[in-house]
Amino acid sequence: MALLYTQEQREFIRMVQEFADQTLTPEVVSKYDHLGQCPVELFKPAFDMGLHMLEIPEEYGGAGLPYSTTAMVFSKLAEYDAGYAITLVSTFVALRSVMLAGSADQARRFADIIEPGAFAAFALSESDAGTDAGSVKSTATRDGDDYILTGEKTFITNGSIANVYVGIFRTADTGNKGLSAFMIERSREGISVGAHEDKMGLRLSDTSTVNFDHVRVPASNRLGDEGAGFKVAMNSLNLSRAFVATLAAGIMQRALDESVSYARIRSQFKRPIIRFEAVQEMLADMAIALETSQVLIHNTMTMMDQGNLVRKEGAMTKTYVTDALQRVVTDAVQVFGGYGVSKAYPVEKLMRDSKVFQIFEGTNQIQRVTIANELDKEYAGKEVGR
Amino acid sequence: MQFDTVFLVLPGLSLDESAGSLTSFALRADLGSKLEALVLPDQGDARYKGLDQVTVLESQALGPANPDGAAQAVADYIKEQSDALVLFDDTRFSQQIAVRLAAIMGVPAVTHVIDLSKKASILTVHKKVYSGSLIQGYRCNVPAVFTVDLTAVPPAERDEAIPVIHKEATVDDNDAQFTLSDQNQGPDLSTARLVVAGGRGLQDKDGAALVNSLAEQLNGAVGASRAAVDAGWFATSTMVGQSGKTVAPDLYLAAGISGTIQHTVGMDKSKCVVAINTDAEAPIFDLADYGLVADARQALTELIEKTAAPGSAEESN
Amino acid sequence: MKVLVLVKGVVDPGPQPSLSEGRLTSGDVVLDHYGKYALEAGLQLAQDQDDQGSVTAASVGPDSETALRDALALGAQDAIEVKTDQENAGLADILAQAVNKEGPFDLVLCGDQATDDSQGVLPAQLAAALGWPLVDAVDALGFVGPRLCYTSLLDKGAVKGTVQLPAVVSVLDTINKPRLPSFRLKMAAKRYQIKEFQAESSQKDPLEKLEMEEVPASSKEVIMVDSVDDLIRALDQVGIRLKKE
Repeated sequence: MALLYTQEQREFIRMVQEFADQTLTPEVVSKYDHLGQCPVELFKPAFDMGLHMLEIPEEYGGAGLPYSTTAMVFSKLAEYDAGYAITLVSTFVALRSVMLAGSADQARRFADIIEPGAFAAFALSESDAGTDAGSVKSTATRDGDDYILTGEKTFITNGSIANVYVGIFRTADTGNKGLSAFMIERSREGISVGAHEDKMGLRLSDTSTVNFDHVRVPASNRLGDEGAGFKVAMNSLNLSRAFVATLAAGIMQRALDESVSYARIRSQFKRPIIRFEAVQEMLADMAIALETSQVLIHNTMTMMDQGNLVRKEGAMTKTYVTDALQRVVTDAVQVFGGYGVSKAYPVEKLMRDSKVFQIFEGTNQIQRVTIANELDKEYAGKEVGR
Repeated sequence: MQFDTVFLVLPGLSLDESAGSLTSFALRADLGSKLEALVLPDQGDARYKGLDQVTVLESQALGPANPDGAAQAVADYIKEQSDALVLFDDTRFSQQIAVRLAAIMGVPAVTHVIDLSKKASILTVHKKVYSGSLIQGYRCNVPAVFTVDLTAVPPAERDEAIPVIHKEATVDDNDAQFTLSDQNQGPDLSTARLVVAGGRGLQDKDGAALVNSLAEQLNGAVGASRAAVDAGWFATSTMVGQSGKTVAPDLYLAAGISGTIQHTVGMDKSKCVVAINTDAEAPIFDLADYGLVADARQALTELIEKTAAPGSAEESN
Repeated sequence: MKVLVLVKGVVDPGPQPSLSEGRLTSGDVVLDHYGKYALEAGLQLAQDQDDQGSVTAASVGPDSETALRDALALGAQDAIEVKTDQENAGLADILAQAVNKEGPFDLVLCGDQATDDSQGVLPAQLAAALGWPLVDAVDALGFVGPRLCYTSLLDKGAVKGTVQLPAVVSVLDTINKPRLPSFRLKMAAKRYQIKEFQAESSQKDPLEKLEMEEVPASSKEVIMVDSVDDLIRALDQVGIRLKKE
C-alpha cells in the first residue's frame, strides 16, 4: 500500500465506505448505469454527511479538510461509482472557483445555495468551444446594472440538476481576454435544459446541454472583473484536474480488486488462473499503475494544500493516471475472459467509465502542451551543459 | 460458598423444552445443591429427572407484559434462601426477568452462558462475545444470576414423580399489553427441525418468495439474514443471528447467505448445514456440511421442482 | 427534554480476531454498535421536541473518548466522560452518580448489550441504582402527547406500554436506522472539550473477567456438490430425505 494513512484519514475513509456500502450497492449502481440516469434522490444522504463540501472551509459550512484527505475520500467513493463521485466533485469545484475568483459575499451566497443539499455546475464548454475554450461564443451584454446572458453550453456535468452555475460568457470581442465569469442561479428566468447526453460511461453523472435565453443577472453576480473569465476557468480546471485523477485511481483500485479476487477463484486446467504467468503479469502491471498513481496524486494534493497552483504537476498527474487507467481496465476485462464483456460482471462498466478521463478536464493532448510550456518557462535562463 | 438451592426459573413464553434442557444443563454443571424449578404461569409441565421440587408461582399479574412483577415475585420467594444461584434460559422475556432479579438481589449476572462449573466456592462461566467470534470467561464467588444459551442442549428425562407445589405470589401489575405475534403456517422457527433461510443473494422479493415456497413444501420454517430483513424481503421475526433468533435444526439450508459471523452465531449449532452461494469464498462454506456454488434463485427453483410431491401440480410461478 | 445516551468504546476486531495472552491485538476502537441505535433513538426523540430537546452522550472506560467524539459527530450536543480511579468499580453505581449530578435528565437511553461482552445487564442495574423504571428490548419508541410509548419485542410477541419519565430505556438494534456521521460535525467533534465527571468510590463489581479464548475452529470439511441433483442425493445418503416419495 503506497500511502501511509493517518488515523483520521482512515476514519474518514471508513465513513464514506459505510455510506457507499449502504447507498451504492452493486444492484443500485447497475440499475442507474443501465438507465443512464443520475439518481438524484440518492444524494440526500451524501448531502447530510457533507460530502459535497468536504474541502470547503468551515465558515462556509464545509468540513475544512485538506485536499490530500478529500482526495482519499473521493478515491474510495469512485471505487463504487465514479459518476456519482464526479457529481459531488463538480459541485465543490464550482464553489471553490467562486471562492477564488469572487468576493466573500458571492462565495457566501453560492455556499448558501449548495450547503443544504444542492448541486452546482461549471458551464464553459460549447459545441465549438472544447479545448479551444477561448472561442466561447455565448454572450453577456451589459444592460444597466445587469447583464443579459445568451448562449448554449454543452457537455455540462450536472447541467440538468444544478441549482447554480458558474458560467463563462463573452463580454468583449478580444479573444481569451473578452470572457467573463458569472454565478447564475437556476431560478432565473430563461434557463432551460436541453438534451441529456447518452454516454458510454459515467452514466450516473448528468451531462446536459444548458440553454441561457436572455437570462438577466445583476452585475453583482459577475465573478471578478470583466475579462477575467478565462482565468477563472483555467484556475477552476487546475483544481478539478487533480480531482479527476483521484477518481481515476478509484476506478483503478476497483479494477485491481475485482481482477485479483476473480483470478484466485476462477480455475482452468485445474488451477486458479492467478497461477498462470500471463495473468500474473497483467495483475502486477495493474498494481504498479495503481501504486504509482496513488503516490503521484498524493504528492500533488500535498502541494495544493501548501498553496501551490500545480499547473505542471496537476497536468502531469491527470495525464499519467488517466492514461495508465486505460491499460488497467482493459486488462481487467481481459483477466475476466468471456465474463469480462458481460454486463453481469462489474469490469466492463469500469472500462466504459474510463475512456472519458483522457478527454475531459482538458484532453491529455492539451495537458502535454501545458506541461511542455511549463518546462519551457522553467528552463528559460537556465544554462545546461558541463 | 455452598449454594443451598439452585433455582431454575421458567417464565411463561419459554420454549417447552427449556425446562428439560435447563435441568440437564444444571445437572451437567454438577453443583451439588438442591435443584428447584420455579415455574411462572403458562409454562407447562416442568417435572424432569434430577429436580428436587417444582414450585409454581401463581398470580394473575405474572404475564409476559410484566417482567418487573415476575422478578419481584421470584425475589420474594428466593429471599428466604441464602446463597441462591439462579438460572434462566436466554430467551428475551427470561433475560428481562433475570437482569431485573439480579438488580433487586444486588448480585452479578452473566447472560448467554455456554458453560458453568464450580470448584470449591468459585463459579466459572463462559460466554461468546464479539458477535460470537471469541469466548469470554468470568469467575465469581458470590451468588449470581445466569441466563443460559440452551441451543442444542438435550433435555433431561421426564419424571412424573417430582413433587409440584403451588404458591400464591403477590405481584404488582402494570398497564402494558402483550400480543402474540401472528403465527405463520408451518413450524416455529426456534424449534423447527428444518429451516430454509435466505440472504442478499436472493436479489429481491421474488427470490424471497422462493425461500417461502421451499420451506412450505418441505414443512420447514423460514429464516433470513439481517441483510435480507433490512431489505424488506422477510419479517423481523424470521431473522436468524445475533440480532435475531438462535436455531439448531437438523437441517439448515442457507440460500444466498454469505455467512458473516453475526449470522452464523445464530445457526452454527445446526446439525447439518447446506450452503448455496455464487461466491466460492463466502464464509458460510466454512461451516457448511454441503456446499453448492450456484445462483440461489436458480437452485431454489430447482429444489422446489425436484422435491415436489409426485403428481402434484406444476409450480404456478 | 434532556436525554442521556450511554455509549461505549469497543474494539472492532474485524472478521478474524487475533488474541495474544487472552487480549485482542487487532482492530480499531469504535463506537459500539448497539450504542449507535440508542443514540439515533435519542436524537430522533430530541428532534421531535424541536429546540427543547438535547442529547448528551456519556461513557465510562478507557476507550470512552473515541465513543464520545463519534457520538458528537453523529449529532449529540454534549459529551461527558465518567472517570473513576477505582479498579473494578461497579459501573451502575458510578453512572448513576453521573446521571444525578450532571442532570436532571428525563431519559437515559442505552443499547440492549455491547459487542464486547453481550451482557445487557447494566440497564437494569442502573435503573435500580437510580430508582427509575426500566423498559428494555425496545423496538419502537415515541411520544404520544406527553406520554412515552414503547414496544418491546419478545421472542413470541410484543409488549406495548407507556413509561413514566424519568426512565431508563434500553433499545434493540432493530429499532431504527442510525444516521451516518457528518464530516463537518466530525471535525467539530475533534475540537470539542469533553466534560469530565469524577465519580466517588462505589461498590466493587464481584465478577472477575478472565482471559478471552478463541472459538474452537470448526472441524467440518465441506463437501462441495456440483448440482441440485447431487445435493438431494448426498443428503438422502445421510438420511435427510427432501424428496417426497
